[in-house]
Amino acid sequence: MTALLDTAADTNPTVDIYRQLRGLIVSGQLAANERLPTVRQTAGDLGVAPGTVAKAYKLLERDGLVVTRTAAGTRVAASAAVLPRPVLQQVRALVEASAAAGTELDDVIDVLRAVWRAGG
Amino acid sequence: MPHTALTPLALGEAALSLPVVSLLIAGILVGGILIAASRRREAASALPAGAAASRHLPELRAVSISAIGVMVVFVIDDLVRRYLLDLSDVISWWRFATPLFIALVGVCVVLAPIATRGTRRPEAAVPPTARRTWTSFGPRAGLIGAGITLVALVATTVAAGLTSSPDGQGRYIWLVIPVPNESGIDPLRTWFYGWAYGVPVLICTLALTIAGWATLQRNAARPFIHPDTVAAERAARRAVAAGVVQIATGAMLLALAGAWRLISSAGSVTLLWIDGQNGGQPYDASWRYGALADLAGWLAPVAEIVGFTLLLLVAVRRSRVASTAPQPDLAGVEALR
Repeated sequence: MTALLDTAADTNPTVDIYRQLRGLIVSGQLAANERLPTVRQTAGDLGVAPGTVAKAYKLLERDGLVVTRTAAGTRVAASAAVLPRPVLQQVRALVEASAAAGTELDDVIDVLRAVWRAGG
Repeated sequence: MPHTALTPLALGEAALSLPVVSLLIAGILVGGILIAASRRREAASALPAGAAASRHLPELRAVSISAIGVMVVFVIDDLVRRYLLDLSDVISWWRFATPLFIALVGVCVVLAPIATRGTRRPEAAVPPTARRTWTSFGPRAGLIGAGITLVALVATTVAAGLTSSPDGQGRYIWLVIPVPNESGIDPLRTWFYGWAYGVPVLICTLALTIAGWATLQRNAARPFIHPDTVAAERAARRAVAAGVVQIATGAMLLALAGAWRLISSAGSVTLLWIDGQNGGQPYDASWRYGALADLAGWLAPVAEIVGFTLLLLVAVRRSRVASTAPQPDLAGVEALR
């Protein structure tokens, strides 16, 4: 995409944030139409200036990974997401419940696969 | 005027009209809940450790102290008004707003360490994976319960306020029940949960709602300390959020129970005796919402017991977390400063 990402600007915090969020979207950790964290929250979490985060969001928007609408905030574009939002919410709930129960990841995946194949 | 027989049912009703009795019943309930929880070994599931402990333990202690404060002040206020002071001619306008005001102060006490010590630059950046809002760590069922309680309290207060009538000094404290077909007889006037009580309740409820929302929002939105502490911090934030929601809900239930009691006692009046009139028989004068008043009278102790139970659970659970948590990792804390 842009020269910004292909040059010596690789250490630019804006690019780091862009890559981080793009990774979340591409790997399916953010669902279609899910709102991205606010610029302020992301800036606080990463310890950077809000302007730096805003620039990263602009890059995501330019790549078609997110859509920004007035009053609706910045959301993951449906075309870029791996999972619909309700499914990802269930996945998160499954992870949380499994962690609380001390279940191994492999066991959960095995059971999920078996249940999937059995048709629910 | 006939005397009411002192039946076991009447004694039970009288006992359940005392907040101290509701507190006692709630204490028994909480004891049972804790015994059941200890058998399932759930007690120490949310202990923060290390740097997370140094950040979150003051908040958990503040939650616990706030819940205790609401109960203590509410019970003392009730006992003082009931047994120590003669307030028969005084409009104790603060009566129903007291638990809400104390809860408001308590929630602000919880918010203070979150806004100061609890919101700092992270030791190591934790990339956000999702938007965190005021509902992120709040107990879903608890938030729904708080919403229902809020609606019930506001609806009760507004409806009662609209029904109330002013006394000679313009204070809305009366329920006026006309005697049917007897225009020459003054209507019944009984003390009621009118605007004089309701306006302070509405103001405190609004302030408590805003403070509760702000606390949940700040609790959720602040950055995590370190990637290694995220799980512990999430657990601690859930505990803080649940505590704040329970304190607000408990306080609203205590206020609602008091309001329902007064509505019940005022709206249940149905007979008027006037010496030398009507051949010694009473006049029938019932409030058109008398059935609702009766229902409110039955629900009031239930609401009060549930409110005390929520507050006791917060006080006991957070106290146990605070007293049994490991000591903070001071090296890690210093690194943060």
